[in-house]
Amino acid sequence: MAANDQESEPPAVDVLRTDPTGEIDVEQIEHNLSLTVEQRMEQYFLWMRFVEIARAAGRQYYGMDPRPPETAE
Amino acid sequence: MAWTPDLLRRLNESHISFVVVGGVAAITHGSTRITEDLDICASLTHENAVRIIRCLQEFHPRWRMQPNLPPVTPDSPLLQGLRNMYLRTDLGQLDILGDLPGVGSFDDLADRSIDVAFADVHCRVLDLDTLIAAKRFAGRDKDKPALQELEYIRERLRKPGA
Repeated sequence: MAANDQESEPPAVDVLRTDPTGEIDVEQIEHNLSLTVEQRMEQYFLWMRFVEIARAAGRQYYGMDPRPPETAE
Repeated sequence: MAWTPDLLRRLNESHISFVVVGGVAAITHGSTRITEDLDICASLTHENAVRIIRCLQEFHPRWRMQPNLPPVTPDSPLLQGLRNMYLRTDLGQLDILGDLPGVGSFDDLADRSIDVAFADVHCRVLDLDTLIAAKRFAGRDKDKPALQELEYIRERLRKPGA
């Protein structure tokens, strides 16, 4: 009976799957590992383009580059 | 080619209210740390969850934590009673939080966010003080260097002439 009850439980879709420390998003790692190196690089470069857009948005909002000066280009 | 700004644009066009939180908010405020996911906070009532999934249909959303389930559709019974919505779409990962622990629900964030433009897409982004409070409350080891950096940025922005 207990097994049947367990089977009828809806799958947990809103709980993050992490390692025991709670620090690592296990699904994100598994997804990345499922990609080829080329796919990972494509994903990375696309994301970095968005990061540049987010940085530009911050510069526009603050009227300056808010990054610590030693790290800003 | 569709990418992250298109996802934000689609949410805006569908009149979904949301606030950008997490790593992208940190980058906007000047963090140099790069995370490769987009976190937003939005109301996750059943009605709003359905609206979100409906507007994302063309990007084929799937449950990130249950990748073996079929793509998420607006009639999914799993859209009931969600605390968070962890999605993987054609445009990448999108984590939608129903609330920010230690800060409050989406409704509490309206006056704790700023308006910025990601290229031509206007979005609300969690303000720096609230982002710091959320990261401090989360207390994760991985947040500690980011928290330290955000506090440094806040001090720097407070200095006259910054």
